Amino acid sequence: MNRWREARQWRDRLRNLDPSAFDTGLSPAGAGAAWNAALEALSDEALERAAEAPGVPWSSATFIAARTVFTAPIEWLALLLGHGTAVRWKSAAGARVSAQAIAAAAEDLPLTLQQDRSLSGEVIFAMGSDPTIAEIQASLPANTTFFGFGSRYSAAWIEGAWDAIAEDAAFYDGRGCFSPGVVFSSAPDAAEQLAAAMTSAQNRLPVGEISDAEHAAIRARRALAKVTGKVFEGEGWSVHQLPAERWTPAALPRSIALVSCAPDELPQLLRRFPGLSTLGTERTIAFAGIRQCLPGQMQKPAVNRVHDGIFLPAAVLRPNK
Amino acid sequence: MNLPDGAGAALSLRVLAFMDRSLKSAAHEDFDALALEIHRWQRERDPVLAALTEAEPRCLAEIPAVPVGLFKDLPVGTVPPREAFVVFRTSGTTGGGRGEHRLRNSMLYDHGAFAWAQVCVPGAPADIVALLDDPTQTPDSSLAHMVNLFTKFGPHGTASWHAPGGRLDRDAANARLRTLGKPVFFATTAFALAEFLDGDTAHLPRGSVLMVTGGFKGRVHRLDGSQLYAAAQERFPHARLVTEYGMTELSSQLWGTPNQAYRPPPWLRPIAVEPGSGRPLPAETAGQLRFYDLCNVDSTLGVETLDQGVVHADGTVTLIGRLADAPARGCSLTVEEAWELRGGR
Repeated sequence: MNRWREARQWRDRLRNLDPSAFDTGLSPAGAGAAWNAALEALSDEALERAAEAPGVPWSSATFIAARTVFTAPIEWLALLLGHGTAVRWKSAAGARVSAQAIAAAAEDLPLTLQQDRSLSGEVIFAMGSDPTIAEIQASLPANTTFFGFGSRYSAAWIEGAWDAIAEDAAFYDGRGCFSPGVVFSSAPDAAEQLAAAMTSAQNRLPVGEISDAEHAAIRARRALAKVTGKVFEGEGWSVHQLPAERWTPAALPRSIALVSCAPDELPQLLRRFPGLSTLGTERTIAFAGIRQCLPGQMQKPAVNRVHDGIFLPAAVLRPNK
Repeated sequence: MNLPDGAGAALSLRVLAFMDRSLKSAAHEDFDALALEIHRWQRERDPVLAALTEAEPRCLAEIPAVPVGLFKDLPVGTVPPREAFVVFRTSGTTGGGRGEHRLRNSMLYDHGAFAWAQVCVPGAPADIVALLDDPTQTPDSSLAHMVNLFTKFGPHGTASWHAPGGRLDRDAANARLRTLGKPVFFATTAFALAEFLDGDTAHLPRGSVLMVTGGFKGRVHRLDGSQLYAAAQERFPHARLVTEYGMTELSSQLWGTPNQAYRPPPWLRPIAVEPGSGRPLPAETAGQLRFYDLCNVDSTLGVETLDQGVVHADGTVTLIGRLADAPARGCSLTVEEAWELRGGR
């Protein structure tokens, strides 16, 4: 029995919450923007379309969340709950308050949403690092259906949408696999344009907490850029201009690697590292199997999308025989 | 053996004199002044260091400390690859390539490592049994190179190596311990020790030294240091347990015990910095560790680690561990959380 009406009620309750009280590590403005964007993506129309995906609802599922993007579970939970699946989920360390709020919003609704640490259910969805995904999978009984989403990175090709890409980098403070860790451009003034846009984004969405390890990683890449490229930085942000052979797919908070290249060089540069999730671009670029979207939308994924090669609304269902 | 240019050779000799005199508590050169001279000499020969130097340093803390990650990306140091007589390489376990520490020769390294170990582990046996790879097979392992020096603790020292290719050979290690039947210097990484303690072990005779090095963070597992030390002490009650902290990128090491902070040699200066700004922190404040190593004449004086620790007023260091981590790449759960999910460990 489907529960779409109740899933929408749950979503509406979430919309009334104040995420600035959550343990997100983001600034209040940053947490609010991320929360609103995640819930806006769950429009009635989007949920109706997702409900039409082919397949049979699972009776029970477990969802294991990653710690980088505190809103990431919401869309998965919405679809599973809408299909009437009983959901157990394990929130990430460091996101307990938001997890409690998300679970509490389902109380007294005929939805089964339990925070639970056990690995049980017909199907298990997990997000995390590659070793963690492998570790979880290895620990499961052979007959358990498992969807693991490991480490990915995202990039952007930008010609003029500097403010939009800076906003993508500001969402979730630049963490998560949809964040543009590296920006490619052929614009001669790309660094200056991006630097100005990062300042503006910082004014709108001030940066939140940055861990010691992230600080250290930013300063290490800054050193690399000082030796091999150029450094642009301001309060709460940095742009590290690097030669094409020096970038690596690290999503550092409010810190972007900028690489100058011609458009036809881009596919080859991206193939240097496997695991590309999303390419933010103002034009369609021939690159199979990845999500492409406009700058400004990278961190605001639609529910009805292909996620790491799987159509998300279908992934929450058992395939039809 | 390759020699640096005249000025570099003179600096190396001054560092040697510094080491010897400081160990005898005799008057020696001022650390900061010598460090600044070495830095200036290095900067003229190392484009990486030159690019990282924003202004002429006036004191030790202003000398750029090269992040360890940069050793993987760039040729750090004053020795071009073709002129390196000794090359130590990082393990590469944290991803990316392997960092290189190139030396024209290992004179300062060997002299300092041996002398400071003698001070910190007096009376240590010269028969080495190591859960490490054989340094003749892995000449780029700075740890194996260092441990091999300790055969000179006595006139007839021996060494045997029982982790070929990183795989523990328990039977061979036990056989060696039983055959020797006398005190040994038992050298191991924390992970190899944990594995060794998981099975049958020969005993370490009274007078033996158990040296544990390496962090507790692995590719998959994370060890509890206190538990490991307690288990080791219980299994080897007659051995003296010592801890060693070293890095491929450094030429000098720190020694301690499980209950005692690490002691750096006089020619190695640790500084804790605030991770966000890189600014030095006062003593007794936890921060990101940097080391200024006078023996790093061939490479670079200052090295910035990814470790967190407290530098005490007396210069000793309490290591806290890796910097509090938030994954820099993609979505991440920790393996520990996966263990939690399974209800284990």
